[in-house]
Amino acid sequence: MAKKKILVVDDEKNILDLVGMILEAEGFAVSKALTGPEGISKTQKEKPDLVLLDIMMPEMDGWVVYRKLKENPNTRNIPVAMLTVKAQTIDKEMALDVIGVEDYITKPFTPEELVERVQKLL
Amino acid sequence: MKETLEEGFRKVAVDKISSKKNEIIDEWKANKEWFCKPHSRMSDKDIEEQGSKLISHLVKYVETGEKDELLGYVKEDLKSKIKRGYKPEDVEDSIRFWNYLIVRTLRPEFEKEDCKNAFAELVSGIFDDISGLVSKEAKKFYLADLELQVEERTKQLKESEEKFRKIFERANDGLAYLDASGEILVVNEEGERIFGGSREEMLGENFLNMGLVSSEDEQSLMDNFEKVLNRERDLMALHIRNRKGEEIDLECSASLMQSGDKPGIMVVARDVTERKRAEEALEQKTKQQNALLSSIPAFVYYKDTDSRLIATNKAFAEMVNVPIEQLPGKTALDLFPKEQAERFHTADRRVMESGKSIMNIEEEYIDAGGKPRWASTSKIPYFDEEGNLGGMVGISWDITERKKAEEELRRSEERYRSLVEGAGAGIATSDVEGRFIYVNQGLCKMIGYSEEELMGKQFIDFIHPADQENMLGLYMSALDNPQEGQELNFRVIRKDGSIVHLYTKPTVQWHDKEIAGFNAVITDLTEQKKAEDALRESEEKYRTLIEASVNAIVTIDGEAKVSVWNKAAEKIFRYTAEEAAGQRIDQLIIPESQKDLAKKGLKRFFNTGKGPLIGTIFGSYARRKDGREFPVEISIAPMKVGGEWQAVAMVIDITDRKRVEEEILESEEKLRSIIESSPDSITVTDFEGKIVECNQATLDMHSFSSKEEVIGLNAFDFIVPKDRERAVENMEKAARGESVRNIEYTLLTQDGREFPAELSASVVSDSDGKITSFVAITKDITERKKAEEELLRNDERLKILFDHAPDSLVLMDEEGRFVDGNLAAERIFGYKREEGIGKDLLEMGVIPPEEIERAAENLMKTMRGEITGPDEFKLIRKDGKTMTLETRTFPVSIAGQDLILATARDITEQKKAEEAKNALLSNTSHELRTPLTSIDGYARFMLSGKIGKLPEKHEKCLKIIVEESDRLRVLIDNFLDLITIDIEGLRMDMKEVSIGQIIDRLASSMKIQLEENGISISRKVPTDLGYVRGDAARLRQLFSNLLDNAIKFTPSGGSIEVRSTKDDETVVVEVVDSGVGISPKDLPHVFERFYQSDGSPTRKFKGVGLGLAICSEIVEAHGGHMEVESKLGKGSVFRVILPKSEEAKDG
Repeated sequence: MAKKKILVVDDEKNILDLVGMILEAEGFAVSKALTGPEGISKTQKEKPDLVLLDIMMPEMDGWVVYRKLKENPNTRNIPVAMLTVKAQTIDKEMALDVIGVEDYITKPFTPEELVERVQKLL
Repeated sequence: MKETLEEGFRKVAVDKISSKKNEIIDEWKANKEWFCKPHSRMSDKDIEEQGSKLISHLVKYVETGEKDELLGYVKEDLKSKIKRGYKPEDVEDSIRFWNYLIVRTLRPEFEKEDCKNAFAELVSGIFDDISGLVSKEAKKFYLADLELQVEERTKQLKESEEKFRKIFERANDGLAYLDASGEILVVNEEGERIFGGSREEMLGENFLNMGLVSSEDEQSLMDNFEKVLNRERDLMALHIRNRKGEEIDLECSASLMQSGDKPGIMVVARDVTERKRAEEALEQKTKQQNALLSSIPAFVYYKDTDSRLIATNKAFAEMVNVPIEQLPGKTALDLFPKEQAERFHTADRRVMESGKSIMNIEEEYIDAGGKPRWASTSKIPYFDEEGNLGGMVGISWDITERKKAEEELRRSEERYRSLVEGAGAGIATSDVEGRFIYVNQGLCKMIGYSEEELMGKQFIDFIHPADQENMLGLYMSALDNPQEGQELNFRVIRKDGSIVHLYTKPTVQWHDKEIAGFNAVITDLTEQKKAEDALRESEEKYRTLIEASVNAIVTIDGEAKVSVWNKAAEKIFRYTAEEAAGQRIDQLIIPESQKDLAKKGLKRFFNTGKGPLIGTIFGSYARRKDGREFPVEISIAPMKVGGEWQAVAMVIDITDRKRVEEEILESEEKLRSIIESSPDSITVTDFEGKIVECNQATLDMHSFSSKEEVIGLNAFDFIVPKDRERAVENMEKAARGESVRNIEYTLLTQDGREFPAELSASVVSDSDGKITSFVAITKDITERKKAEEELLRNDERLKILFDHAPDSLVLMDEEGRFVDGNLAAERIFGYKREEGIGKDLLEMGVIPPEEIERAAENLMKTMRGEITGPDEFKLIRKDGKTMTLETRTFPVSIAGQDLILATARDITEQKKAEEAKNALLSNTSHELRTPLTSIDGYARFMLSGKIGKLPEKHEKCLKIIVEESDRLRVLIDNFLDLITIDIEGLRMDMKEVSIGQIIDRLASSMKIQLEENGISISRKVPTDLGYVRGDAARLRQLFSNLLDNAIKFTPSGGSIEVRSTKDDETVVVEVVDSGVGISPKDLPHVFERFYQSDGSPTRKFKGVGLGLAICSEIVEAHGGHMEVESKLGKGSVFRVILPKSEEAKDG
């Protein structure tokens, strides 16, 4: 069985690496993007099984990226989970109930939590 | 029934009947007329005897029940009674009466014994039997008896057959054959007729005792009968009244006969009644005629054809003074003077030659005594049976007295007439048909027609048409009822067309007992009528006047009884005129307390026409129909009517006047006391200003001690010299009627001290409008002046405060229009005050559209009296810039006007700074989170062993890093929450939320965390805990925080309990831990932000943080509150009390 591929988009290199390390340790193929536009193009190119997307990024924030992915028929069906420091309930509910993201994972997270959430989404 | 009667009852019945025996017999005696006829003739002794027998038989029957003996007795008694002539129905009647008598007497006895039925059957039974027996037996006995009698008679008849034959030969007369005792044995048909009875009735009766003759004749009848028996007499005249009541005269002959050995008498009776009657009638007639002739006051005489007297009556004889027996054969010439006799003779001849009567010739003659007399003579011829003249009968009535009376009458009439005529009265006589046969000059003058014009005319034609009917009525009734004088007022149209009012009381004129016509004396009433009309008119006027009078007018007659009671009297006394009329005045309207006095007064008045009150007007009290007494003013005037003193009283109800007077008096008094107690000086002055009156305040104001000191002073002297000229001017103004009010002067006290005063002046005018004096009201305004000055200063102070207040102060009216604003308001909004006055803040564009709704709401609240704020409003300056203001509104009332005071503080800058701070904090916390994620993540990843096994010391260090970063995370989360709450407030999405569900979910999601810490959790949450209305996310956050907190402070091996209860109003959730607890010192502060227990060693995990503060805010935002209990070392209880949702409550 081919490894599931997960694209992580975050402007923080350390976070990007941490998520990569945790997920790779669990046997996922992890691809990384440091900006929104990079995330979009990588999604289109690599067709990952899941996108983990940071919200607060310079240049293009996570919500724009999400909208673009969902607007594009090629990427529309790829599940997207937000991975964000916006931990307030209101933000979380907005994302899940109004925007309809597949999951909303707040930073900081424990490695177990992350793995568990990702596995659920695949 | 008798067989069933008990012996005891029989015994009682026997005793009772026996004991009542005498009573029954007495009853019988007393009521014997109620018995049948034969009984009623029984003597008391007979009754006693018979009664005793009957009752003793009855007793025996009751005793033994054996009725044969009783019936046997009744039968025997019956037989003897029939024999004695009783009829069967008589006997039956007597038995019925007996029954009634016995039952009536005995029943009450048996009713007491309650065996009346038995008694009734016993007695009624036997009486039924007796009645049956009687009706059957009595008839039998009776018939038998009758038969017996007939047989006997037949036998007797046969024995005397011979006699009868002889008797019947003379059957035209009444025949009766009597025995020696007088008993009728036989009677024939004529005898039946004469004696007025049937043969059957008469047979056996005693002729002598039949009652045919009157009691006086009885003896002679007896005597004659005796004589017949002794053969001494055989004929007698007998007048009888027979059985039919017919009076019959008999000629009786009686002859003694021998029938066998018995002597008998044959009576032959001939009815001579008719003969006797005729004889008697003739005799009577003759007697009557003689009596008439002799007693008649007229002279009656018969003359033969030669005028010779045949017979005269006594009166005639006396008149001519010749013995009556010498008169026959004499002629008039023998008895009267020659001339007179010839006159009589001529009259006689005329009658006898013509064969016709002359009637009622009145003639004068000279009687025997030489006195002239008058007679009314009628002479009638008489004829014999062949029709030949037999002579004549004359009858002359002495009418001398009548003639005299007539003459007297004529003279009196003449006198009367001349009297009447002299008085100018009209006199008329009419015949029966109503034609004038006499009129006098008086009448002619009266009605303007001459005598010729009137005579023979119908009087009715001269009567005014409207009165003709009345006149005819009078005429007719006079004809019907001539004795009764009738009178009439009527009108006549004079010849000249004018109308005269006349009065007459006609009398009937007689002529020989026939009405011959009418005499009428006619009086001219025109003047009287005019006077009457005037009187009536005047009376009417007075009556109307009295009725229309607003004052009660009452008159009383000489007995103090009301005779006039006008409308006004009805009104004030409440008695109607009908009610009052005839009532004694003192009973009617005099109050109880004055009745005696009034009575005395009335008595005196009626006697003398005088009294102390008569002719005066006096005040008193009167009583109304409803008993209420009220003040009146009365004037009484006496009037003497028909010799008695009467009175007219005019009564005025002065209740109102009295009240007004009292009110005026009272008001005057009030006014006086008001003036006296007035704090203002009130003075009355004359034209010169001289004080004539003043009040206490005047004395006080000018430091005087008594009014005497003030009165007479000149009021202008109280005014400082510089103001005096002005005061004079104002006085003149007041005199002109202009208003002089509240003029300020400086006044002086007696000791020369000056003080400010305010003076109003007015004039007092008399009823003609002439000014009599001035009134000045002076108010010492020293204090007011001071106060005004103070106020002015105050006002200035306030104005400065208002203007220089740092906050905008704006007054608005209730429509939201700008009224006033201070300098800060000008500065903040950029408008000058003048620009805003009267303008609507909305119009001015101060309030942007999105704020209008809130602003309006605040205004409404304020108008209702609430204070609003502090609220933040974004408002727009004149230059278009938006600013954030913190506003408050207050309801204020200024000079009676409800206004809104709005304060505003410009917090735009403050707000900007806060927002910046919050943004900074928000950003910071986000920024902090990123490195924290790395620190925590890498450390955990290292600890997970995924990148290789770590030495134990490293692992321990990493764990500390993880723990501390966890703490940092919570801190950042809460910090962020509070900032959010501060910026946005708690935005809540209120729904029905199940607390139980939230707790369940939280508990399961925290399972790992709990297990890691070795803490057990138990839940005591009832499934029907119910719903609260709230924000699910916030409530989750609330309980999450509480649980986090509990876990944090509970050492490993401890336990946490979540329990909840509910009542009608609330849901209570308690989170109980067995942790370290909170010190009493800290306990009150646990819900405060950033409260740091100062270094207390009990807090194993330093820094309570913000979690509990957030919890408290969430609970309060839900309308609930939080409580905490704690004991050091034992643990804590956090209690959340939330109100139940309305739906949950209802459910």
